[in-house]
Amino acid sequence: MALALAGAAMAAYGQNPPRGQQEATDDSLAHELGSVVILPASAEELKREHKPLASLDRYLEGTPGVNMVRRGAFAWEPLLNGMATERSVITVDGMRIYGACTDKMDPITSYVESTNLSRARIKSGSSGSTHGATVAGSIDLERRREGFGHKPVLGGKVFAGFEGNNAERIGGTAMHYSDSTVYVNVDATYRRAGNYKAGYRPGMDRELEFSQYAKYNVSAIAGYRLRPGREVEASLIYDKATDVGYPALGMDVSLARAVIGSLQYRYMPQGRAITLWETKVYYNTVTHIMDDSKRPVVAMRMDMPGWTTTGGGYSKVHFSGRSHQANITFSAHASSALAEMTMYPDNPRERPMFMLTWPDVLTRYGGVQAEDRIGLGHGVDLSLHGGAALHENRLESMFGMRSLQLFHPDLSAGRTRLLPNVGGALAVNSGRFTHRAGFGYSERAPSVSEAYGYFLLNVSDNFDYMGNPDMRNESAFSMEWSSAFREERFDVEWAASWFEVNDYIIGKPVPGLMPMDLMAAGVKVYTQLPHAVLLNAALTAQYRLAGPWQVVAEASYRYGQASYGTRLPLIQPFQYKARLHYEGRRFNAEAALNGSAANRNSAEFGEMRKPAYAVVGLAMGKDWGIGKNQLTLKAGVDNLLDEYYSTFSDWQGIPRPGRNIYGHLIFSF
Amino acid sequence: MKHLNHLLLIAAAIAGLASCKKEDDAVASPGNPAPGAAEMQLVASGTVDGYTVEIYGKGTNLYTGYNTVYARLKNAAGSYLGDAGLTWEPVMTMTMGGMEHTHGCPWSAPVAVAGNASLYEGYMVFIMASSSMGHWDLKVNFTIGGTTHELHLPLPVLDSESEFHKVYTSSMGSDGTTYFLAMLEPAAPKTGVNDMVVGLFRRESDSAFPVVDGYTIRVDPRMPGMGNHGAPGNEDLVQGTDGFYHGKAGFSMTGYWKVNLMVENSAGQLLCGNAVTTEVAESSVSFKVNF
Repeated sequence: MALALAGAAMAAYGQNPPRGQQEATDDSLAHELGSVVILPASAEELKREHKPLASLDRYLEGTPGVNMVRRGAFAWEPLLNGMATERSVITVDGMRIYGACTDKMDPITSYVESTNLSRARIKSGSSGSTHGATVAGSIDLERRREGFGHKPVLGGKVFAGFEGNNAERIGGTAMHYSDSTVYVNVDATYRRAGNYKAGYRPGMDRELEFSQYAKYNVSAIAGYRLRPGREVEASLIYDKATDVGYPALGMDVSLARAVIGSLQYRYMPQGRAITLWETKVYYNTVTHIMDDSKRPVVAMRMDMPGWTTTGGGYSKVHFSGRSHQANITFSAHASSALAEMTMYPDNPRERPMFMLTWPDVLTRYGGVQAEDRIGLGHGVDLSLHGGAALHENRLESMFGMRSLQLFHPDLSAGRTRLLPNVGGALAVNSGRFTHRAGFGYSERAPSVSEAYGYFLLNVSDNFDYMGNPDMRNESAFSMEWSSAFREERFDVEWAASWFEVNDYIIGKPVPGLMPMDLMAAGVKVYTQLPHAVLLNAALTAQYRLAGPWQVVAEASYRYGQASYGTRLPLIQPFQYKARLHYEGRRFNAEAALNGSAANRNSAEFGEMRKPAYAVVGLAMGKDWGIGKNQLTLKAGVDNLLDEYYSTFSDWQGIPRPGRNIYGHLIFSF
Repeated sequence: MKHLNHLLLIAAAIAGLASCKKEDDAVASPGNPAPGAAEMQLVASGTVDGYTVEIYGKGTNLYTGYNTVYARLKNAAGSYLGDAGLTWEPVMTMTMGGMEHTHGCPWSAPVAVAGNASLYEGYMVFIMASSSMGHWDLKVNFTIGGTTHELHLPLPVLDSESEFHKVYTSSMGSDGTTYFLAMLEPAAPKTGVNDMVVGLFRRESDSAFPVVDGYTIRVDPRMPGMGNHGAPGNEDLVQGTDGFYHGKAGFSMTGYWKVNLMVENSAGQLLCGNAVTTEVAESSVSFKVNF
């Protein structure tokens, strides 16, 4: 569905390269294990995308390596290589931003819009350590910036979309101006959706209550060339979601707001070993207010607000030598996370029950990361990366500290960790084949929730989760291997990765502890299992038939298992996609089949078995040139047969949307 | 209804205090705290043979349960006197069906405060509030120049218990003895681990309420409004060198907590209270805090 065609290993598309051509910038992913998701803006990019106005979540969902956990129709949580957001680093242009919800209802990806971004770069394993310590990898969401041009250009687009199933209205505009010394991008997007309807099941109500949402986002970015080779850039994103329902949870969200700002300086000397030196400072705040006031029946009314504030910066220097492409990044940030819970008893003379679910935890991080790509000749490339970071957590709230000391009497206010990483990969191009093999080692610190979380209810397994500040670093050793075969009409690629995680952090029940939530079955405290293994495998094949026809097939599978018979949750079963694509000059169309085998559910974490399913979709696109302008219409039907289904990553068994007829209209000028 | 009771009690207390103060006006400066102890408040005073006895509490009122009590003795010239062999004894006089009956309560002898020989400190654990049924008097004796003087000071005692607050309780033990439990700490409960201090006494006779030695008080705080949630961090109370029982109580959040108690003798035999289980939501012996 999304335009994530890049294979796990090789084919990464540049701004507008023909299919299969490798990108040749410094960051070329041809030399890294990962992929790129392009968020379309140009006419050419729009051609390839069937739902150009879809949320970023939907773009990421179609990417190999990424799964999205759904708790509703909004703010899905990205899983990278089968691992949740504690194990990955998600950044916006290298900026660290921390979600403010203790229940993972606001991943960073929910605070940007596809119109803010040009692409999402996904790096696998320790190669994603540039902006933070990671086990699974990183997703960097790159801002859309026009860049300087030779002559003044003013352009833009106005767009509107409608999704029939949940009456989602999408509207917005994006404008850009550029000349040789200035560029400016400004955009605004608004979305409002009602409840969606699941597929047909006899005798069942199809509407999913509390699946509505509303969100608006405005962003601006402006660059100024001080003199050749020296540029400054300022960027601001304001994102606000209101009235967001979470049908899989007991609470909704009345406000999720982020303000994300940055200033950047770029120095690009001519004829020097340093090709680019980019320095950025940034600041962002996130506010997240949970709300149960719309739920007719609750055990107890409660307020659950959360806040994070993050400031930081990085300086990244790119070097270019005869056979070396190297860069080194120094980065640092400080972030504070505070979340509260207040429950109101029926009897007003009883005092409200107040606790800090995140006890004002200050996280300070400083690290250095270096990468080098060495051309060894004869089509052989060697990539190496490595780095280390200091990571500190400090409890700023005495109240929170006293609370946690109930469970950890020897708790100290701070803890500092050293987080190293190292890795490398060898790529061999030989004729129609490309092979890659890589390895990586990295360590990460426990997240704020894992270390200091206080009675965080997980409705999936119905346990209250308690942080554990005494845990060691979690470390992962990974190996990845991929191959591609390419010829005129036929491409096939496969990629596999294997993660051996030591001291794997996961919650386990502690029988003596009493839950806080009235409905919870017990308390799980984060602990560490000696080992966990995650396996990811993907296969993509494309066959170009005669004329404008093309067939694409994809298959992928993950497996996750940890010590003591612990079956890891949220592991994707075997899934497949097949598409028949027609690409005319001004018209394109596609029929797609997406299917999945039944999942290997982890009952320990409350997962239910989801039966196999297959859904069919149809899509078409047409564009018209109107003078220099272009009008693009995209329309289609998702889940044509109105199948009732739920995937492994749909929390609490909430069903996916049933049949959905949609239309997106974009006028570009 | 409870509100109304509170209001009546408070009104009675204010009236009682006001009347005290009127009497005191002539001889002392009422409400004027003793030197170096700003939290001390005058609760009673009286004069005998030219000597004035002032009784102070930690607040403006005395309550059922544990009270720290101070005393000072002043001569006619206005000088505070030490070394006067001051003793006290609180006595409740009850009138029931025309019969008069007196009893005491647990208390400690007044002891001169370190560094201030004319300021005496002790405690009293009032086991009931003053009411129309009965009133508390403090019998004070002191000896100056070989002459013993005695006076009786009325002591108004308010009920400390309310819907969500209870720091004093009594229980008939399975050994037939009546036990009295008074909580000293936490006086201001906080989220987290709280030091807990309880006085444990028994009725030996109407006038003897000695400290019970060598027992264990098991403690299990729960939130009745939150599915009887409880937190770790509790430590059963054992007797310290001060005679009181010391342990810990864990509160994982603010709100209303019932601190369930079990009293066991030195042989480990359960005398008062019962264990909280999934079927039995509370012990028959408990304190309550609401913060």
